[in-house]
Amino acid sequence: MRRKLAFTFIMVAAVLFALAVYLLVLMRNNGKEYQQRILSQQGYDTSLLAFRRGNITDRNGTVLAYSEEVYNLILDPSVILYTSNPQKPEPNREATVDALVQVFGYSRDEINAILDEKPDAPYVRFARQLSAEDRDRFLQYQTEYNTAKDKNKKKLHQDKVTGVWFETEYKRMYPYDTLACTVLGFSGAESAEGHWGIEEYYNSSLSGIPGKVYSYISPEGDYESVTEAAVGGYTVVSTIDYNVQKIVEEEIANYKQKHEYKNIGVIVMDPTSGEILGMATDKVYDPNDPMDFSAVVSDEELNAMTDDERSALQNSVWRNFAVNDAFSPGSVSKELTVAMALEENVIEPDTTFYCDGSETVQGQTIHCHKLEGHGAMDVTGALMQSCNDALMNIASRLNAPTMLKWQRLFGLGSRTGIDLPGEATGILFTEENMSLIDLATCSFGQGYSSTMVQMASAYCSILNGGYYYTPHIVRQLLDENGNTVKTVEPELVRTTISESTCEFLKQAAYETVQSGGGTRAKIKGYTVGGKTGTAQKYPIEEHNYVISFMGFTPAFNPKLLVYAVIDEPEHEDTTVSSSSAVELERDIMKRIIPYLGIPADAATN
Amino acid sequence: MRKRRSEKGIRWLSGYDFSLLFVVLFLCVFGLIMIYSASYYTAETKLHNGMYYFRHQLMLYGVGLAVAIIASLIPHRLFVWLVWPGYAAAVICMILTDFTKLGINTNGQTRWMRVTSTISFQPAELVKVAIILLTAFLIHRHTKEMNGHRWPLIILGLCAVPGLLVLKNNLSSGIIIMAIPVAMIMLVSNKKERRIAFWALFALGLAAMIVIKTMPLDTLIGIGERIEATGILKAYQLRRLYIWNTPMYDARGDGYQVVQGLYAIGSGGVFGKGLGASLQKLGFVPESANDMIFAILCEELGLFGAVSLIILYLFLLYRMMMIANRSRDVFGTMLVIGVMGHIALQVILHIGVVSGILPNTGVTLPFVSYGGTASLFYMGEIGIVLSVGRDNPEMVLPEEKDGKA
Repeated sequence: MRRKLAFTFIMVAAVLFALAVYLLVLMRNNGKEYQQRILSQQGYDTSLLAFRRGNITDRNGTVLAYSEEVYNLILDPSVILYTSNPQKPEPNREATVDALVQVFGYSRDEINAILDEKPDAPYVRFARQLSAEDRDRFLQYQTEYNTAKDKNKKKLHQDKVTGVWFETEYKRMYPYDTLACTVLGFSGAESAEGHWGIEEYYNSSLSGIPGKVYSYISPEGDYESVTEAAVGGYTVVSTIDYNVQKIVEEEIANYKQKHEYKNIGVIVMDPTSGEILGMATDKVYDPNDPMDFSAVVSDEELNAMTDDERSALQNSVWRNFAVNDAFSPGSVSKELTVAMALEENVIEPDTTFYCDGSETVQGQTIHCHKLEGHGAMDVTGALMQSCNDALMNIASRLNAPTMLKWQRLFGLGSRTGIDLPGEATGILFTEENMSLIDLATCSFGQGYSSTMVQMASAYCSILNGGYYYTPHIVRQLLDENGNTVKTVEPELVRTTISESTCEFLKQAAYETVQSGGGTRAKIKGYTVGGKTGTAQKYPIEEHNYVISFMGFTPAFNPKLLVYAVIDEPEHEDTTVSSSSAVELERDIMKRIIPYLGIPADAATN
Repeated sequence: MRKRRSEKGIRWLSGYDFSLLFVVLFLCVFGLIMIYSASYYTAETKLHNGMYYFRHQLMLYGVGLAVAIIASLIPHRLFVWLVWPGYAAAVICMILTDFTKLGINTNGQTRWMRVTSTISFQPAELVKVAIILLTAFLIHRHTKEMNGHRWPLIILGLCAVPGLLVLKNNLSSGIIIMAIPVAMIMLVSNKKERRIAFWALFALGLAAMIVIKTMPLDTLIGIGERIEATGILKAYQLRRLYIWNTPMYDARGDGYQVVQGLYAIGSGGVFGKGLGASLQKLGFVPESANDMIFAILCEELGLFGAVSLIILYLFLLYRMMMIANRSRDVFGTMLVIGVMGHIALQVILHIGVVSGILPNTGVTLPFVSYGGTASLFYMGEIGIVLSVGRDNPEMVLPEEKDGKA
């Protein structure tokens, strides 16, 4: 028996020795590899903290967009369902679910379903964007419940409300809802990325740096963490003026009620600096809820749409007609044609022209809008009556390369560099493909295309004495503490025309409003200059037009430019009047003048 | 007077194996340290109380030590009174656990029995002790007949009743319960053929294991597919075989625990990362304080710690062997051998499972793993061994006499 027992003992010792040898082999052969695997799966627990996206304000500090702290409710089923004593499985489950149901009124079944479905998941985002009050109500309930349970010390482990925590997130808020939506764009729920407008163009400035939480186990075995706070994004101070913007949008809304059209765009600019004071289109959406298209289509229609149709719809609602679309500018550009002819010395201010109602170029007859002809007139008269025949005569004294050189000098055919996304360039003729007919039609703004912001910027250079500034919509970037990080100064790109030409054109524009084609733009007590525009859209047979009015005041020392464009307005038969665009411009300007405090400079008449 | 009292005292405690008691206490304290280290993270993150498991185990060892000392002071022949009640209690508890609502189902297995609303225990541990007592007693009564077939089969039959009830929910405990009486019978049996057959079977099993374990996985899967076609084994059963062969076969699923345990062992090196420095206990190795505690031990204390622990167990077994040898009755000898067998099996299976040599079933490491019921019964078993060790002729159980027993 003793021998047998000893033998068995030796066998046991041998087996244990063999196991020890196996362990040694395991360590020697795989030790390094396993250590690397451990380290790679360890990956110190790092979580990101959301940053606060910067505000967007108007030029006077009125906040147009800000980010509010909200909380996501995170469930940790692995903690909620943890069982330490098999006798009492999942002790915390009921208390925790009760708490969620009582505080938030969530569905008990829904929570239980999630817990059963993902029992080991440490992170389930159950609810989003709760307010601070909601969070505090829950935390208070949790503290009270758990404290009460702790007092009952009879039992080793009491059920607790646990495994629920709140993750900070920011929600983008636009306090004035639809106001300036076209200019602002919008930012998604995560506040991380901007879409359209300033939100997109200045995304990197608005975005901050996410904070980080490094969690690790200290040598004492405690769970510790180091927090690197998130850095908020810069505040973007826009050149937009809240009140100007509001007036523009209200007047567009008024116009919408009375007229039919396809697109409306209005730009209000300070001609002395290229700053945009207001910019709006007729397309209105609420950036708080950019995916809500109920104003445009019904829910049924929306649901029936294909992805392509839906993105086309989104594109049509969110895009900025004033920047993203190019069209034939029409007669508004006649001031540019006259400017280049004067600069090239091919005409004098007192050069006279005779309009017989049409002009034949290379065998093709091009009509003036007044088919019976305007008769004889000087250059000012040609602009006042917007005579195509006279303008074609002027153009015939130029040639294609000269015309294109000046168009480019006025910023046509290339991006103005405005700080908004997706700017269109428009299309000019080239030296190679510009025929004499094209030269003739270009003189009155047909045949090429330009954007509103291009034309408004070109006019600004005429109004301020020949200085072409980059149009811009942002003045300043401020950091979290309100310190200026960057100031956007007016950027002089080039000079366009001489001062004397400018003076002549302003005078002609003034006369156009006084007694020419733009008399409807007159504002009592103020000198107003302006130029109407009517362009035919291709194909000509469809008789669609773009009507516009470029107005400014005071006429001889302009401080304010308002450019209103109506794309495909209602019209009778085959002709259209630009008068509704003039009236829209006047209604806007009339209300902005007193707000900006521009002194009355005209004798009441 | 004084002289007589001291003489009596010496006689009363003579043979009391203090070194055995010391080794056990050392293992318990070592176990507490390892439990504290291995469970702190899990307890802190899940229970907001890092000391939870440590405290619970400390409390149980307090009770367990009292149980061991009280048991050691009882003359071991009195344990005869526990044989049949113990056996009956074991069978009843297993029936209650397996077939009534008193059984607590966790992860699809019913291993726990509810006693009161807060106390529950694992009846399989009771069964182990009851089986040791019963087998020791019957061998004592029928020592001479152990060479025959009748009594060994009766003993095995009696053991099989609770054994099979355990096997239903706990494969490893069931195997241990059946292996203990087999080992005990083998040791008293003088039939050479039987011993040769036993060791031959043992060697055969070992060889089969080595073949399956060392076979390239592709070959094994090839064979497995043919077996599956015959319908003898189902796909999920074969899958376990593949995972046993190569835990990486499903490193994120069923092989996860073993793979993470291997990472822990392998990364430990000769001297380990240092006590408390395990990375794998930080939520990677499941059951890090009980079924997998040896892996954390290897990671923190290295091969050195592992071998030291193995040597402690061998010393423990050696002391027990000495006690078994000097016991004046067969009952005492067999009791000690039974406890030896139990502890040796637990240690070998635990290390075998953790190091991936054996298929993954939950086996605790005696005195080191966290586990209330098991700790209490281990301490009780130690108490029995210490009682046997006391060299007191008065305590000897008379052989083949029905009188007092």
